Amino acid sequence: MSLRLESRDAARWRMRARQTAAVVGLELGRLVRGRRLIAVYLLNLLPVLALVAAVIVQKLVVGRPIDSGNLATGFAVLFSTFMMRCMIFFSCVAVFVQLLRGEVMEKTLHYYLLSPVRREVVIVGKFVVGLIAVTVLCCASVLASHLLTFSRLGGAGAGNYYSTGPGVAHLLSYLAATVLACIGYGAVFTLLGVLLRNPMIPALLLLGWEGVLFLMPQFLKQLSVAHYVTSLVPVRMAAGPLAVLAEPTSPLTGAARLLALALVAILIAARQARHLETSYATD
Amino acid sequence: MSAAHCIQLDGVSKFYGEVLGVNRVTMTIGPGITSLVGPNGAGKSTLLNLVTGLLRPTHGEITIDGARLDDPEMVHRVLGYCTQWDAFPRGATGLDFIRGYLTVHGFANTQAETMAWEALGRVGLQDAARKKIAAYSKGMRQRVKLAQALSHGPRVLILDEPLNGLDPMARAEVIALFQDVAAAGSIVVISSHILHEVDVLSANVILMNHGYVVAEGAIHEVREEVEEHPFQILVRCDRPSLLASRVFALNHAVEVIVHADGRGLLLRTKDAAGFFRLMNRLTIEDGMVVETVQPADDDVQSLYDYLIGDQGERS
Repeated sequence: MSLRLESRDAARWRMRARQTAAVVGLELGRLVRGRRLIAVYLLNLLPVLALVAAVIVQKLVVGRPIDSGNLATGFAVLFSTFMMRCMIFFSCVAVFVQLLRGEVMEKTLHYYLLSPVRREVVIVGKFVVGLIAVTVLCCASVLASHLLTFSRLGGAGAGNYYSTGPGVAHLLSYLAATVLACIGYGAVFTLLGVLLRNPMIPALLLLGWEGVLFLMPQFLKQLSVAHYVTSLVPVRMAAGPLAVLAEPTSPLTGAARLLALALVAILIAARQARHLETSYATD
Repeated sequence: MSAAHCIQLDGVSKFYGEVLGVNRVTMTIGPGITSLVGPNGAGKSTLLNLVTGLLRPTHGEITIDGARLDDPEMVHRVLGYCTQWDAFPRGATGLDFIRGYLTVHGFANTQAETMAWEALGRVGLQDAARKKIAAYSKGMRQRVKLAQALSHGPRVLILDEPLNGLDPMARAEVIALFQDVAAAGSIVVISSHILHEVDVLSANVILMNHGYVVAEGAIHEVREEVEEHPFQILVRCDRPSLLASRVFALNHAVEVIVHADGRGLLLRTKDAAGFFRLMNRLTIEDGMVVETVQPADDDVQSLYDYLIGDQGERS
C-alpha cells in the first residue's frame, strides 16, 4: 500500500517536472521571439559600447596602457553603479515583472490557468526562464565589459593580468555577483508581479531604498539585494563620509542569505498564485 | 472518480467588491448540451469563469465530477474552456499554440503534436496549422480556440460565445461537432446570444439576468412553468374554422388567429393539454385532418422574451 502511494507520488512529481520543463520551453521560445528583450539587449549593450569607445579613444589619443589598479577601481565603480543599479536591476524589472503581468496584459494567462498544472509549477517555470534570459545577457555584458576594460593594459599587460594576476578570480567574482543579483532581483520582481497589478512603483521604491542603503544601520541593510551582492564584489569602493559602516558579510554568507531570501520570495509568489483570478476586465 | 458526471454549483455567489457578478446559484448540469442565455451583464461569463476556476466564488462551492476546482491537476484534465477572449500567445502558429499547451498538460512532444493535428482537423484548420494565428481571420481564430479547448479530449466542455465570427457553413460544422461531443457523454455548456441557434443546439437552457439564474432546465419544462404567458400553438389542418369555434367554447382560449390561406390557425391558450385533448376528439369524431401541430413559443427565444424581455439588451 505504502509502496503504491510512493509510486503515485513519484509519478506526480515526475509529471510536475515534465510540466515545468514544458513551461520553460514554451516561455523561452516566446521570450526569444517577443519584443520584451529588446530593451534588455540595449541596456546590456550600453557598457560594452561605452568601453569599446574608451578602448578606441585610448588607442588613438592616449596611446599608452593604463595602470591595472585604476582599471580595477574603475570597473568596480562601473559594476556597482551602472551595472548593479541600472543594467541588472532594470533588466530584471523588464523580464520578471512581465512574466505574469505581460500575460495578463495580453490576455493569455488563462491558457496556463486552464491547464492541469499546479500554478506553482507555472510560476517556477516562468522564473527559471526569466533567470536564464537575464543571467545570460547580464553575464555576457559583464564578461565583455571586463575583458574590454582590462584590454586597456595592452596585450601583454592584459595577458599577465588574467594569467598570473587576479584577473580571472575577479572576473569570476563579478560573474557570481551578477548571477546572484539576477536571482535576488528576479525573485523579488516575480513576487511583485504576482502580488500587485502595478509593480513598477514598488520596484522604483526598491531602487531608491538601495540608493540610500549606505546611510542605513546594519539590520536595515539586510533588507536589500545589493547588500548581499556587494559582499561578492572583489574590489571594495570607499563608503563615503556619511555612510553608516557595518560589519562586512562574508561572500558565502551573503550568497547563502540572498539565495534563502530568493527562495522565500519564490515560495510566497508560488503560493499566492494559487489564488490568482483571471477576468482581465479589471486588470 | 466515482461521483456522477456533472457540474455541481451549490450556493455560488461572486461579488467584485460591492458589485454583484452572480448570486446564489445552485444547480446541477449533467451530460448533453446546455445553453446559457441572458442579456449583457447578466453574469454569463462570470458563471463560466467560476465553473472553470478562472474566478473563485465569494460564497458557495463548485465541483466537477465531485472534484473541487482548487485541484487543477485533477479538474483541468477533464475540462476544456473556449473563452470569449480573442487573444493568443504572440507569434504562435495554430499548431505551436495547441501543441505548446498540450506539453504543459504533460503530454510528450510527439503525442502532443499528434493530438494538436487531430484537434485542428476536427475544426477544419489543418491547412492553416503552420500559419501564424495573427494572420488568421476572426472565424479561424475562433476555430483554433475551439481546437485548443478540445485538444486534450475533455469530458466537460465550456464554450463562451463559440459561434461568434463563424460563417454559416462553419457554424453548422461546429454545431455538429458539439453534438458529437455531447453524444459521447460529455457535458457541453454553451453561452450564446444567437437564440435560434441555441434552440438547434440544446434542449436544456439556463436563463440569467442581473446575476441571477431566472430559469434552468429542459426548455419544454421551463416553458410549462411560465404560466402567466399563454402557450402559442400553430396548427395546420383542413378545417381551422371548426377548430377555432370549438376552441372558443373552452375557457382557456385567449386568442385564435386563422391563417389567411384557410389551412391553419395560431392559438394562444392557458391550457395546452386541454387543447390537445380537444383536437384529438375533433380528429376522431369529426374527421378533421391535421397536417402539423407545433408549439410556437416553446423555444429559447420565447422564454427569453417572457422571462427577461425588455429588462436587458439581448446578448
